[in-house]
Parts: sequence; C-alpha cells; structure tokens
Amino acid sequence: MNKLIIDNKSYSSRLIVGTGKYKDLEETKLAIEASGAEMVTVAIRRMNIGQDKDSPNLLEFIDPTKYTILPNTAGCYNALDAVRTCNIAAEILNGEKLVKLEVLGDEKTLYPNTGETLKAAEILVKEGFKVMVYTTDDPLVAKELENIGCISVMPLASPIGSGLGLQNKYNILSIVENAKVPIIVDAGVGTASDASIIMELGCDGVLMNTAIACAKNPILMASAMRKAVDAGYEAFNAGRIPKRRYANASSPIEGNICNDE
Amino acid sequence: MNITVNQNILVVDDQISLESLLSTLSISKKYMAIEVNKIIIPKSEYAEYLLNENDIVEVINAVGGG
Repeated sequence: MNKLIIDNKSYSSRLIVGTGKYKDLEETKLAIEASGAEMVTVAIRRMNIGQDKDSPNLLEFIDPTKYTILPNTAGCYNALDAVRTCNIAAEILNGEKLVKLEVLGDEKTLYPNTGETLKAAEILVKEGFKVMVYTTDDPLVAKELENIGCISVMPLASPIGSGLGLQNKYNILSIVENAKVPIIVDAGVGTASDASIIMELGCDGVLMNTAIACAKNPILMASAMRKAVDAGYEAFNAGRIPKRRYANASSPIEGNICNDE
Repeated sequence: MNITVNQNILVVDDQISLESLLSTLSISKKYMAIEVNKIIIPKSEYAEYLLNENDIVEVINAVGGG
C-alpha cells in the first residue's frame, strides 16, 4: 500500500491523533501507541508555573524524535492570533514549521472561520510554514486553501468532538476528487465505522482526538481506530462492488440438486 | 521591580535576565517559548535579555490538544 507523504516524510499510518482530554499523560502515551499513529497534535498554551512543578512536560512523554508533532492553533478566532501561535510553536519545537491551522468561528459549533482561515494560511505559507489546514467541507474553499499552498487540507466530518461521523459524504468526495494534496478528514468521528467510511471514499487520512480519548476504554478504541483506518483504506484500494437493488447468488445455479424437474 | 509572568505579578531584581528568571522559577528551557510584550525571544538570547519594569512575560509550552 502507498504511504502517506506529508512534508516529504512518509508515514505508514494514515491515522493522526490528538493528545487532549486524556485522564493523564500515561494514558495518552498508551493510546497513541495503540493507535499506531506517527503524527500527533498538540495545543499551545501558557505553562502552569508553580503548580505541579514535577509534572512532566507533554513533549517529554510524547517524544518528538519518535513522533511528528503537529502543533495546532485551537482557540484562535482570528488570523493574527493563529499566526502568533504558529510562530510560538516553531520556537517551542526548535524551528519546526509544520502546523495545523484552525481558525474558529464560534464556540458553539467550533466551525472554521473561513475568511480568517484563508488570511492566516496566506501569511503562514509566505512565512515558510508547512500548513495543514482545518476547514469546512466546502469544495471551493478546500481548493482555494490548496491553491494558497497548504500542504494538506483537512475538512471536518462533523463538528469537533460531536461524534456525529461523516455528515456530508458527497462534499468530501468532491474535495478528494479535486485535490492534489492529501485530504485528511479532521473532526467529528465517533466510532470505528466512521473512520472506515471516510477512508473508503479515498481520503488520505483521518485526524481524531475525542473519539479515542473520551471512549470508555481509550486504549481499546485507539486500537479499533487503527484497524478501521487501515480497513477503509484497503477497501478503497480494493474497489468495492457496485450496489444493486436485487440479489445476485453467490453459489452456482448449475448443478443444483434441489432444482431437478 | 514588578513584572507580569503568565498573568501573575512578580517582584524581581531590577534588570533580571530571562535566564535568571527561568532559573528562579525552576523552568526548564526544553520545549518551551517565551514572549516578552508579545515578541518571541529566541532561546539563544535568554542570558543577555534583561527585563524591564512592567514587562509582560508569557512562558508557553505544548499541552494536550486535538
């Protein structure tokens, strides 16, 4: 099977996972291992100074020499805040410029603010960032982000953390068919079949956090997602049968001993 | 003098360097970034970068997120 190529690096796993909402860092680490993911997202926040001085830094638990760290701009509601956050992320990660751009529109839906996302993408690409961008499932916006120079476009399946699964299959299909960069569906996955359905459309990958971290057993769900993404990708490449309304017997009619006249 | 570090006001020696501030607060320089008055200060400049009265310092790191 072809590997996923992002920023000239190849990945065997097409599952990208977040590191938020876990019980603790140990569970985060075990779930990431079970997911088989090689790229993980992190958020950029003020350090908790003075509280829990002995608690390890996330990046001492999730080793950046082992995993590709994808810092996000979650919590940014305008382009300039997102650009600021990306520059801070690059400083934290010793100059690495791979980022997940997300500029949000409102707190209830966490839908992307498309205008500010486009503006931020233009600035970041000019500044040399490798931008993987969270966006709506609008095929025209997805193409515009690709044209700006984003290295991966990441449309949502449904709202972040909703678990509603893929809600606009035909838009995602249009985005995939028109794209020359990897299309990674980001947000909305609820369970394993959601991930398979996304991959069966021909998407290049899936990014998820809540579906794993908030499952009753996150480590088991991480393992399920690993298989679901692989299964969906293999099924897409294998080529599914056409759908038909009526039955088509699997056993031969010829030689049937029960049908003698 | 007073400075603000991650939204808390701290009383520190005049012209304290960023390097000394970090060591006072027991903060490791690994995988973190500092902004002073919204400008990122590269790690290579911490030793010579001296803080002034009312500077706003943000010490930032990576946390769990999706």
